[in-house]
Amino acid sequence: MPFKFFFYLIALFVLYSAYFVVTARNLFRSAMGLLAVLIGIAGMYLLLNAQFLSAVQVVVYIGGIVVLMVFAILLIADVTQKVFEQSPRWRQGLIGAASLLWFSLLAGSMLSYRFGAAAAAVDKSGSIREIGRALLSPAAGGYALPFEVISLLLIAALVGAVTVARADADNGEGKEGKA
Amino acid sequence: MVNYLYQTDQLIAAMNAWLHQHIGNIWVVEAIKIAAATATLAGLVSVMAMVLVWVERKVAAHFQQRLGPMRVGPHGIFQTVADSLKLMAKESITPRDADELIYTLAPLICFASAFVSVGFLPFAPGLQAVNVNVGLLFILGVSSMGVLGILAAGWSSNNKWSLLGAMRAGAQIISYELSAGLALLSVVVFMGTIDFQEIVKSQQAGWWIWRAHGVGVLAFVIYTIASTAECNRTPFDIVEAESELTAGFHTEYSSMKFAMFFLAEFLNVFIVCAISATVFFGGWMPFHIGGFEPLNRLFDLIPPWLWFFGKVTALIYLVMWFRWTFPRLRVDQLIRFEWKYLMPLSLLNLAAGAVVVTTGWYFFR
Repeated sequence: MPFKFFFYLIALFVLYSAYFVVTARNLFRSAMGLLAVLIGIAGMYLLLNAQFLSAVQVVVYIGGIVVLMVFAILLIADVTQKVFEQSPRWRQGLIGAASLLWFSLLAGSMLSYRFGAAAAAVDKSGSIREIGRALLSPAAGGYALPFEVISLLLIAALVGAVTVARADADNGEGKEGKA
Repeated sequence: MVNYLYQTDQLIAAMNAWLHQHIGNIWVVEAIKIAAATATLAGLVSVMAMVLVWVERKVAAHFQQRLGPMRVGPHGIFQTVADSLKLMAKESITPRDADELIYTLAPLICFASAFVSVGFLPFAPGLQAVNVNVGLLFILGVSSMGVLGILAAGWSSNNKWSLLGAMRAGAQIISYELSAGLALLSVVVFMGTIDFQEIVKSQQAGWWIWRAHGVGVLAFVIYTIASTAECNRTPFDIVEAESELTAGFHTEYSSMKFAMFFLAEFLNVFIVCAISATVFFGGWMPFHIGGFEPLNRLFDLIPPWLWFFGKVTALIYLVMWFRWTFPRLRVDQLIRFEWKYLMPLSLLNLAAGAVVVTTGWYFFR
């Protein structure tokens, strides 16, 4: 019973924060709303006894991504104190239609899928030892290949970002003066 | 009864059994446990912050051959009580063009992230509010949330100094977090666990700072530097460099909102020193020397939680010592020091740690 109570409490919190993210007329406020959403989701993982996942959610999403986003927002001077205008009617209508379509797709696929109890349900959180072995073992049951592919993808993204940033700096020598 | 002073896990177990015996409903028992843990931690945190503020002022004074606060109580020990009363009585001001919601929320984010982190710390066997098997990772993540509070404070104050201070804080904390994490990671390689109780138990044979010889010492030095920077303390206090930024991100704050930033700052010092004491100096484990039975027996007479607080106190004194030893760094020096020297060094240290572990070339395998 309390499990359900906490589930709905956190779900309500996450939904309201998500609503705040999209409706806030200011980028910084949206970012703070996103922080609340991510905290709520970390709490949800904790409720499901996925401690490692929850910790990683906090470290990566809150400590990394939200901080970076907030930093980027603060660096773009025009955005910081600006309040966005309401978009025109036709755009609101289109956005509403698109959201409705996406929601019905999600709801349809979720309702049509038959959820069953997992075959090997574990109520205890995996230790980092098990997770590390599984991530790096090349044998069956290991995820070495996906892990390496993702690492490669991330490195490509990093190099790409650096290249884009460098090209910019080379073109305009007096760039700092303009910004 | 005296036994409970030493075997705190048995004390917790006895309290647990008593609760279960007298209150039937398991959820009520859980609720009481959560409330008791929160109240204890809240008491501990507020008293500790007051003591730390007083100690900081005294240490600073004696380093400068002054007496420091002397008026309120013997040697001024009630000075911080008086200060807190004054802070509470002050008017809480919100600048006219500030974003009120974020402005109010910012100190809360800072304080909450520090307070939640304290819950993961192992004060003694069994004496830990939240026991998760990934405690170290959790504490790193939760305490890194504090920077968001600082950024939010700087932005919402609608003040250029606040914003500049917040930006500096952000750049500094994000950069130094990497070195702090890597330094801890190079010791985690030895321990093979990030569960705080397991971390302490893995040091039964000896503390990691010298069991892991060179790697351990280097990791401790790197972690101490990086964590001082993360706490925005001198020599890394460009965040609130008075001569340039008035008071940095909390320029516009007053009354209890300011007090929360202040509290969070001192709590963070305690937290990083507690992590350092747990990972490098054996946490609540008493100091033992193999073969010196009488000395070991004597040290066993000191309860584990006293060992923990003793080690943390020593480390806090070290951090306070820095403040009156090193001059403040410039922004560019600070960032260069991290990215060009500290981070490569901690990466090398991690690699060295991995080699030492795989070859088994450390003490008491």
